[in-house]
Amino acid sequence: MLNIFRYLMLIVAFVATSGQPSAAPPIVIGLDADMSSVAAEGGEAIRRGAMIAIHQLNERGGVLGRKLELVVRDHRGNPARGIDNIEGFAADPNVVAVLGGVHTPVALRQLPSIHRHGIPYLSPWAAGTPIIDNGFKPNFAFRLSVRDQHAGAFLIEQALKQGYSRPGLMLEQTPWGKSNYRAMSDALRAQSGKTPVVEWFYWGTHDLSPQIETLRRKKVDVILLVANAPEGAHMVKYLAGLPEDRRIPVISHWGITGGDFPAITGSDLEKVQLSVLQTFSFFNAPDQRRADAVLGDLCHLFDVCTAADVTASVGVAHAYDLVHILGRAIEQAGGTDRALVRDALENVRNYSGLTRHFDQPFTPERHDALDASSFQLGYYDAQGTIRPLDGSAPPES
Amino acid sequence: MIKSVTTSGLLSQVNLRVLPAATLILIVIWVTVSQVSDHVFQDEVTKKLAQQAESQANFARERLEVLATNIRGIAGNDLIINGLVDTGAETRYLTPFLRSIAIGGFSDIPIILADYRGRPIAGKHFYLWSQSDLNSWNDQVSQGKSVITLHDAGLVIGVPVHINKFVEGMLVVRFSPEELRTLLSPIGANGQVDLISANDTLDVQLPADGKEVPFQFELPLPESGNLKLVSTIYPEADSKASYLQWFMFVAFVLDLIALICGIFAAVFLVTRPLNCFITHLQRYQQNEDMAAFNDQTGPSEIRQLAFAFNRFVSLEKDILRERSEHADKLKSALDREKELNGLQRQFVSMVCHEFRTPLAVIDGNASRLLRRHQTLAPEALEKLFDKIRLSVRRLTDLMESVLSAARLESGQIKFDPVACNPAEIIEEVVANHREINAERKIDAELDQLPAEFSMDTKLMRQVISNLVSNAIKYSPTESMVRIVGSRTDDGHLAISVSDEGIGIPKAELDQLFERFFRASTSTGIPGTGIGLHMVKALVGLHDGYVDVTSEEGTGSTFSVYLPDRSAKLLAPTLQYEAVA
Repeated sequence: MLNIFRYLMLIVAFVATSGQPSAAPPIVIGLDADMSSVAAEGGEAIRRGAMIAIHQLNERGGVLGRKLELVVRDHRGNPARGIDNIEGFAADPNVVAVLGGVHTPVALRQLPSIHRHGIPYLSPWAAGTPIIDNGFKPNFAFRLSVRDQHAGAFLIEQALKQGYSRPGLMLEQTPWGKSNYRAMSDALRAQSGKTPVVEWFYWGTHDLSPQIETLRRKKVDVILLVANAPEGAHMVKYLAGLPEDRRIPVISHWGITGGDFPAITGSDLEKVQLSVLQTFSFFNAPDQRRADAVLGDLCHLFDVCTAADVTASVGVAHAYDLVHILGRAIEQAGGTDRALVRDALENVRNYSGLTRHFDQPFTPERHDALDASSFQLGYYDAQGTIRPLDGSAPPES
Repeated sequence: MIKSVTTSGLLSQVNLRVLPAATLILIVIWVTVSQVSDHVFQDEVTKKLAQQAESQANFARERLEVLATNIRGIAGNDLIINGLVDTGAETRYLTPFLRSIAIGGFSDIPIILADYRGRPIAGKHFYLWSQSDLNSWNDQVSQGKSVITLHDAGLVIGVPVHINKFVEGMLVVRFSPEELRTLLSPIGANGQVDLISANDTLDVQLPADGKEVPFQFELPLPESGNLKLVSTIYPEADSKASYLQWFMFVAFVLDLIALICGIFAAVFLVTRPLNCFITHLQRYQQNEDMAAFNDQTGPSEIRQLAFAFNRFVSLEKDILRERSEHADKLKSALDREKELNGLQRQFVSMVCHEFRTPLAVIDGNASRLLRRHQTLAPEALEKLFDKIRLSVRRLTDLMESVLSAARLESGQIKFDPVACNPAEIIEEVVANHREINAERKIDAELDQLPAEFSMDTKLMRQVISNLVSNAIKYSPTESMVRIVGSRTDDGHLAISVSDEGIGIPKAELDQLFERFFRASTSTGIPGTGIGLHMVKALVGLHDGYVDVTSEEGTGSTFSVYLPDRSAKLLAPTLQYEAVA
């Protein structure tokens, strides 16, 4: 009976599609990210990862017989724009879900709109813990990225592992910074019983020297940085200007990789011992076959043909995996109903992605696909490419 | 009589003469300058008002620009930027931060941070503006431009807030109309600046007195699109003009005072030297001997006057002296002329008388001969003829004397000295007189004379003859006439003729050799007064001189001294030889 029903459905679908093959609107996946401002490189990486996944899915006939399409809106890191973008996507019935960008503050401000409209929000980058632990039920926010709670613990662990005993936190005065503050403080207390030294800064600041000098006076031996590219670059430049013996090593959250950090810092980047949180690298991908396939599509679609040429590879990998997971969820939901898709997302299973293999990326209780087991540290080489850090510390500057 | 000058007198005179005219001139100058300056002042005031209004407008525009710059600076503050992205920032720090901001010296001014579409995020006094206003301003701000516009007669300045390079928000500040006026109007300026729509006209309230119309200057604000600044200046020209008039009146009074003081000073400075000068004049008037006026001190005019006066006095003294000398000479010449005229008249009278006597003798003897020539004895006839001949000789001598005197006066007598024996010359003359005056005793002692002496024999014969003739004429017949010739110690030839006659009064000795003079003792004795004059003149030609000693009633001695001319002639030769 079930098989007869399936066949009937297939016939109906065939007739419907063959009668008006071009009438089936594409399934639209929205991308709301900073595409032009401080984290434009991160947004572009996300777009490329999503496009490759869509390309691959469309190559296979799309999802539910419908082509996938990516519609990009630029929020420039501005939450107000992000909210408006969500409103815009929500108004379009073809938009099944929205991919987010680098900025946690934007994502956090979008949450009410997301849940008011009931549109699945997939975060391939923004790491703020509250994005997922947002209190909304049902929770439409999913993330295949770093969770600050995990990242904070990981970075503290890495710092202590590298022999630093007095880490100082340099955090931006945003919800993302606060999210990391809680995570790192908890982790440091848990791992060493100490309370971290903390300095805050605002977006748009051009001088981090007071905070850095405060950390120096407090005998900090490593700085754990939570910042985007512009503010992170100001800190690197200041440190590079100090005598070598006064420079403090930096272990950074990956916010700096969202922008063109090597271009902003220039040669100063080489003078500072800097390692950065990563979840994926084409240089040590867990599934090299899939990684090579993605690199092939990157080369085909975006003329980026080597692992060294890929900018913000985590954004590419996370978006790529999220779109594939979304495709499966749509298929599982049997349509683009957002609520059904949301539910389906919690039930996707056995997905071998670029980042890793997921038995079940999301569950009703867990909307973070990744945990600390996927974390690693990377460093900028002389060409500005982020490479995996094999040892316990990045190369000496 | 020249009177002295007193300071008070001179002051009153000068003041009377100068002050009215000077005051009149000052008044004319005052009025003229007032009129001219009033026009000039008004022009200047107009120019200045225009400049002031323009400056005030520019100042207001600069203040607006500074204000907008300040607000843009606030918009660039990282707290504001962060406020756009930080969830809950508006409740935690953004609103307190905005409330703490004082702009343009005003605190608690309405300020709002809006998102990229003009929707308020944080701020205060939201009720003051509508979303449509915010949207309208945001349309312009989103293009990166600032908004300067009016809102409920207040000023609204909206500036973009950038994240990275993009406009992601808007900061809007509103100033009330009162705050706007305070912002735009310079402190202390006598005007105000209003910000109005470019199409509007500002109604300016005229002053109550209506004397001066406020001056306006409009300055469009291109950055605002449709606004303009209207700078209004309330002129104080009238009061300033009155100040000017007042200042000019004060200047007039001060000029007058300065003039009077100047007159006092000038009079004081002039009076002293002038009085001194007048004193000199008075002394000069009184013919007092006075020192030269001091022409080295005092005002230059007085010095020049004193110099001229001194020069005048000096010249006048010279003129008076010369005039006196000339008068003396003239008087002397006149006296001399009078005397000569008298002597001449006396001479003419005497000559007539002298001529008449021999002529009468000749006439009487001739008549006797005519009547009695047949009866007279030959001896008697001879006596008559002798008398006639004697009278003729006397007439001849008389005429010769007159002619000699005439020749002497006309310089026709030639001096022709020759060496001769003086004794022979004297003997010859004595012999003639003995022949004529046989009854007279004439003694001549001539042995002391040199054998040879240089003289004009003709002239010297006349000299000796005149002296001998006078001695005979003015002495009794029985008395002796003595002629002595000698040589003095200094080589002069001395010839003296003495008589025992009537003598000459001592008082008349000095005039004795003057022409036509005759001594008072010669009255009744025929004579011309020419003889002694000729003697002195002829002896003078010989470089000699005549001396006379006489005692009235006893006799006289006339001595002629002739220098040795041969010694004079030889001297140069001897000198030459000694030198050679």
